Amino acid sequence: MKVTDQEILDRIRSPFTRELGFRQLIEIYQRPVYQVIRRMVLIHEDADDLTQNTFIKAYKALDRFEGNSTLFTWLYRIATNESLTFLEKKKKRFFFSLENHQEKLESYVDSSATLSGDEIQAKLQKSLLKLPDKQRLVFHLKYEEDLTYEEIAQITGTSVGALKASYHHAVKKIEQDLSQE
Amino acid sequence: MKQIPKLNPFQTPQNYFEELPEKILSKATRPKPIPFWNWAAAAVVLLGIGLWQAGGFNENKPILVSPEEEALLYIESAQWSTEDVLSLSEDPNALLDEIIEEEYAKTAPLWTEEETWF
Repeated sequence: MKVTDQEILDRIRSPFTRELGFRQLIEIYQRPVYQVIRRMVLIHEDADDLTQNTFIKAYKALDRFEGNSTLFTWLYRIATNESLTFLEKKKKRFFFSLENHQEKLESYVDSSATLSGDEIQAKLQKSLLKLPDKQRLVFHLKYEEDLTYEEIAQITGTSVGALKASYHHAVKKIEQDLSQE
Repeated sequence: MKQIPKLNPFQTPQNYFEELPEKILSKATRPKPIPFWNWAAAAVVLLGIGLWQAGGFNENKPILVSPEEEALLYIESAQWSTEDVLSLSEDPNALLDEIIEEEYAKTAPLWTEEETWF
């Protein structure tokens, strides 16, 4: 039996069923939230941290959730913000000369391809890594997750027009990149 | 669009999603830990008191600089690099995050209609 957003929220808002409601929220949304984060940060350990942070932030903010969007888009908004903030921090860290996160991700893709033997997937991942992070996010949400522009607009707080243009640019760049190899 | 394949879902360690709800719940309901800087400040105060008690600040044995000033001198004279300073910390990642937060506190919000969308 499918549990609705409203039922989950009602359980969370009652002190007697708060933990049960939150557990249901995690069980229903953990896989898509993890996948959308992992597509952005690639490495499991980072995705694990960010997935946990996403739900902890949601737990702390659930009392203020007004229901203007679905729980799904609200959680995706937190998750994508977490991912972009994480990537932004990694880039800034590069100025402290500890590591180049971009190179780390590329070598991660190479080693994963060696393990799984899937070179086409690795090529696509490497093409995606060449895109700006936000453009990569739009591509994932549209092409891989199959969300509508309206849903993506709710998640990102960006206009549908800007998203369409961003997605169009992303597709062109990836097609060009894949055809060159 | 035909040239672009779909990505496979990422693999996770065994039982990852079975164990994740419990991990999140235990963290979400745990009291907030004391920030690193508070521990560091407390350690400096205790160190200062310890040195004073041991007669480190006795007028007959003047010390030219405090431990903090000494550390600053090492940094400013380039004897210690950023990596050296970070390696002194128990949790360099947390320290680095705090430095970045301070340095970049006033950066633009993430979601703006700017050229990085394109």
